[in-house]
Amino acid sequence: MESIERRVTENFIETMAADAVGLGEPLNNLTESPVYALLSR
Amino acid sequence: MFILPPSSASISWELPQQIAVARWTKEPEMIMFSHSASFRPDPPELRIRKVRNLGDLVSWNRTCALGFETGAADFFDLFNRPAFLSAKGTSWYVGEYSGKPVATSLLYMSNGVAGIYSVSTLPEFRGRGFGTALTAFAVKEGFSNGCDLASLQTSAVGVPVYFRMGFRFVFDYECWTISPKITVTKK
Repeated sequence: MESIERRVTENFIETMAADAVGLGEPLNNLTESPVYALLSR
Repeated sequence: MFILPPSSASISWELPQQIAVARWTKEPEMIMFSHSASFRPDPPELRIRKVRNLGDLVSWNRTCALGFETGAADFFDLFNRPAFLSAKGTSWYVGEYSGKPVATSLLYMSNGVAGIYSVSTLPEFRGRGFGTALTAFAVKEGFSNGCDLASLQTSAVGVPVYFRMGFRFVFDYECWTISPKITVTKK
């Protein structure tokens, strides 16, 4: 079962991704961030 | 901005080298499970509705800028784009008093989590339970769409407000806001 920390942090990060997409910006900066890297392990 | 959850604390990044030029804040993470949720009635003078079109979104962003006391009514105007309205899992809610938008909230659903964001109330309308009502509305929408967990990040001042709603504190995020002039690289 996924941890609560992981689930809520993913949600938090994904809102920023949604903002980036909405603004027409590439996701590279976000997906290369330490937090995203941590979540993707 | 780098936002670090607790499990990242033992991981060594190059970020600490830049800490002297960063602004550090804590953001408490609070959650509520659907099986333990209970809500108070909304203030009868408040009408809450979903943002449906670009005009609504423009109004929502203006209300949010004033509610967060950004100092500029157009602070969030760059988000006045139709693309946001079709974002998957995202809904905006506005609270109206006598037809005037006075409070906001945003729901983002992913992986069974109802993430609550952008809860704001115009300064002159605070203390009436409008922020609580906008939060509860978004939470209920998330639960009715299959989420089992509601999540939000707040300030220390907001913790007791959300605690009274039934949220509980789970951990602090560490937020490092770094000058755009500084480049941070991963190891």
